[in-house]
Amino acid sequence: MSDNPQSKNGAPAKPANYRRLTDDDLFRHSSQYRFWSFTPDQLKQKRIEVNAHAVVSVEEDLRKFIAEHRDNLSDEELRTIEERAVPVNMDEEVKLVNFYAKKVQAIAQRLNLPTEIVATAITFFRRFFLENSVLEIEPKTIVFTTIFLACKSENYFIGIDSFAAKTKGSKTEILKYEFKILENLKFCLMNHHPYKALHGFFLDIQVILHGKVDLKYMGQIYDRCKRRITNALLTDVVYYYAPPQITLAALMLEDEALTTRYLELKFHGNTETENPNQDANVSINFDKLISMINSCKDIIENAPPVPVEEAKAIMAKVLYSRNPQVLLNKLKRKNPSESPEDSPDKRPKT
Amino acid sequence: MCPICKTDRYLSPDVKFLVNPECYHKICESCVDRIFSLGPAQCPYKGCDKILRKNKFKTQIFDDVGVEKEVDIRKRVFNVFNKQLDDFDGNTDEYNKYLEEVEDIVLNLDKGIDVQKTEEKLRTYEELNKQLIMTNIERNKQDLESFEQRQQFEKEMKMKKRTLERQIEEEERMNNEWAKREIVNRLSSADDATDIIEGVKNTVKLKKSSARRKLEELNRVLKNNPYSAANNSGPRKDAVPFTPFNGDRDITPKYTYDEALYNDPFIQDLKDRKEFIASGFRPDYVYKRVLTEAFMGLGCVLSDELQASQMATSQTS
Repeated sequence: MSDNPQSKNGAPAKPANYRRLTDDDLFRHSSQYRFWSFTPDQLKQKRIEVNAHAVVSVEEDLRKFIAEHRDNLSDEELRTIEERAVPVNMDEEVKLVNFYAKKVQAIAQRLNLPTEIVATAITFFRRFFLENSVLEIEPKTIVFTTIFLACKSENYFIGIDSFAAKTKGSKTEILKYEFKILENLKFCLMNHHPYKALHGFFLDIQVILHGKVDLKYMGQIYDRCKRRITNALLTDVVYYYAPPQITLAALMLEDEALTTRYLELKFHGNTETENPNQDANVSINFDKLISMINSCKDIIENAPPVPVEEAKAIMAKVLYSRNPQVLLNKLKRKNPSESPEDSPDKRPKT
Repeated sequence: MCPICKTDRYLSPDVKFLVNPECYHKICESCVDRIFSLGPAQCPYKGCDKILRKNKFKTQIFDDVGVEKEVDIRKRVFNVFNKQLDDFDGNTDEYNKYLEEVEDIVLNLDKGIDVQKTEEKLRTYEELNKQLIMTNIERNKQDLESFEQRQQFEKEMKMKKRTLERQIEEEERMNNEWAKREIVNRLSSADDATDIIEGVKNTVKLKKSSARRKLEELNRVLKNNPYSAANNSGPRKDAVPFTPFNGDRDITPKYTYDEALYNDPFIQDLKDRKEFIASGFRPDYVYKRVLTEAFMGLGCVLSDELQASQMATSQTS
């Protein structure tokens, strides 16, 4: 402390490399920015790595299984295993995770949880499967756990007993993976969701476009945007963009004219009258912002829903590659009596 | 029960146990006298081959022998390693490193890891830094003394204050009584009641007791107490206040706050409800928070920034 320059009048001197922190800098310090933000390439890379890692171990197990049962297996059985017990690839994994993330949303909403908690549950679930492959842990086993954990982390306490009763799940099953999830979340439970930002923009639009916008209409937009944001949380934009940017993209989708007008009035002056105290990357560049919002919007719009059939097919693949015995049993059941009521494309329950 | 002579508390309730820092085995006082008065002897415990001396025996302070042992070790180590933050010119990192080292030594001695080496380290340090250790011991003693002096001084002051206050109370009571009597006396001879009462009350007010004056003086002394003054205006005052990210928040918000223009039915509904107001709900907190969140990270171009940071890390590695 003594080597800090100190002014004579006793006022505290500024420490070395002191600077003003903008709110953007605060966001840069958040765990969401540090651990859970990626460029599209980074995200893809990460997913490929996780998938490859799991595939290696699954294939290892498969080989072991075949080696152990080599004598008892018929040619047909071997062929079936080779054909159908294939580990899923990265794209299929993403689809499956998205499918179950949607399930998380539906279940959490059925439990009448507040929007932010639903969002947190979805986020936790998806982050967990950024670190883990569906080949290692079946998605459905942690659905309830993520919801339970989200309730806890968002200060909405439900006892485990009543939670288990509500979801008709077993208490131990829910609690079993809790710590593993926490570990994979790197013990960071704080989420910045776009809802608060939406509320903020809702207020700020009223000031900027004062008298030019119908308040009732704003209310409608607010409600609809909320729904859009929840859907956006099921896409990869949460990893590519900061929450307010996602909010603006949702607003843009809802009412493009209004949002563009607001942004123009708010930020367009920025490019010319640059504040000399701020450095270039702090102030908001209007064109850059618009292009970011538009690309974010595109991703949200073009997120294809995962059809149930496809999800089931992927789930079956996961199941077979992990337990080839199940596949064999099914084959046996089917073969001896080619009965018509045993429909050939019957899939295991997912 | 003493394991040597089998005396127990039931028959001799005032039996005292002693331990020796060599092995920390509990032995009763009479046994110590009996066995060790002729000079050093082996510990009477079975399987313990430590040679103990009588003068090293002491009463155990902590129930747990482990704690007792650690406290002894600490006392010994801290007598040698007695540097303070001032010895490092206020360099906190260096000082912390030093503390860490001392803790390592304590742990090693306590758990019996590399005892020989650690003892060696302790000895060499002691020899190398004899001068410094002595001055530090001196300083510690002075610190302790001044602390005691200060406490003494404060205690005395408090005592004085209390006696004075009691005096004042006493005097006040006397005055009131005197006033009552005086009023009655005078009323018996004169007739204008209100005048008399006023007059007596004024005389009471004017009687400012000497005790009260003394108390005021004492308070003044306490305020510019040499000890407390020296204590308070330490280095703390001009140190830089802590800011978590080495900087204060930007004070110019990106939004213009105007509560009058906001039309938010949900918040406005809560604003007037008693149960919300009672627990400290204020709409401006909510507004400011959501507005801040709206612009928090809006300027972050994640893809560019992450790309840059990735490049930076790959270059350094």
